[in-house]
Amino acid sequence: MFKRENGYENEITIENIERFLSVHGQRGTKTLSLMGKNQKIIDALSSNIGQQILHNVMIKMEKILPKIIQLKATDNEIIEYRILSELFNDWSNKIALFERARKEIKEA
Amino acid sequence: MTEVKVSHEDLDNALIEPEEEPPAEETEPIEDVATEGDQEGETEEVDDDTESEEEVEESTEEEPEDEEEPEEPEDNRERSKLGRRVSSMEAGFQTLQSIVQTMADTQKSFIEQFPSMMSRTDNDDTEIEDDIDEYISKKDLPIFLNKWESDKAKMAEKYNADYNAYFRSQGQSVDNELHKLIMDEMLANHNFKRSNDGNRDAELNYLNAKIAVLEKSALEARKPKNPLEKNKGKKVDNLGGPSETVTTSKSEPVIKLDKHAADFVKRTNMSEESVKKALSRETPEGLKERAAK
Repeated sequence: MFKRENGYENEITIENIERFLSVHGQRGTKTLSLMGKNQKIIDALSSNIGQQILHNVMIKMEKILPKIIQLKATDNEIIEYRILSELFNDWSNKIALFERARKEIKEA
Repeated sequence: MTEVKVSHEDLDNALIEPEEEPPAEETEPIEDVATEGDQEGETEEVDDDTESEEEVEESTEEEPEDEEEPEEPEDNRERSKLGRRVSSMEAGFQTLQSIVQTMADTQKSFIEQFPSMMSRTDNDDTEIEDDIDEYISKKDLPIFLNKWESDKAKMAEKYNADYNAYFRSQGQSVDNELHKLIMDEMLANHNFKRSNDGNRDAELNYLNAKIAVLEKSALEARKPKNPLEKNKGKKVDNLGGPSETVTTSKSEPVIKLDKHAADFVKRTNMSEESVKKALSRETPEGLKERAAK
């Protein structure tokens, strides 16, 4: 068991992985690969700087979104919103995949 | 009985005429001042000889008067004896002359070479002086020993640095695998200190190791390859049993973890063996159902 910088506990243990692999065999290694692939961005977003970036992105999006709804947003703001939302979706997808894999391993 | 009369002139002619020619020919090439005195001596000697001859002649003249006639042939013998003596003396004189000549030549050459020889001997003396050991007092001995040890250590350091530097330079220029093979060979069989020049020793050792490695590889390449080599060590299933009842042993699963999965496993401090174990473990019945869902 290991802890992250912000204190978030990754609950996956060696026993969890062993159990998961014994159930799913070679296919289970794909899940492990998915976990490994997304581990870096999860670590980055879980860090203090990552949290700050995520917070800033959300605030920016919150500011622009009402303008877009009211059709008062400029072209630059619309482009900015698109980029931010793409980033946000990408990150949230990765977090979701990671969490799902974590849950699979945990509950195997 | 017939009297044979021989005049002085005839005798002189008989003695001098045939003898004058050879010395004149032989003495021609030798015209040194150093031999002039000797020549004079020769002439004096010859004069002496002639005097003695005259005396002999006189005696021979007197003899026929006093003695009997059959003794005459003895005079001729004496004369010929004298002639031989003179010729042998001349020959001896010539050898003496040649010896004197050679001595004069050697002396001349010695005089010519003397200055250069003197200068050479001067240099030799200085070299000898340099070679003479310096005596060290008891006071200076510890200083000398310290210096000697530090010099020795410095030399050893320099040797090692040069020795290793050569291998580093070779490692950059030679193919990595070949360099590794050469280094293994060198460390095993050719790591010798031959002189105080580290670079040269390293070069020699490295070259020797290189030759050994290349020889080995050349010999291996020349050997014919056995096409059945790959079958060596293969276990035959069901050896000695009927062919229908072949039992295949369960082979251990090969772990195929990609880079990301391996990173994740490494991050959890899980060993490869435990992953292997987990993959080879049979799934419990209850879990199988869950996995199927």
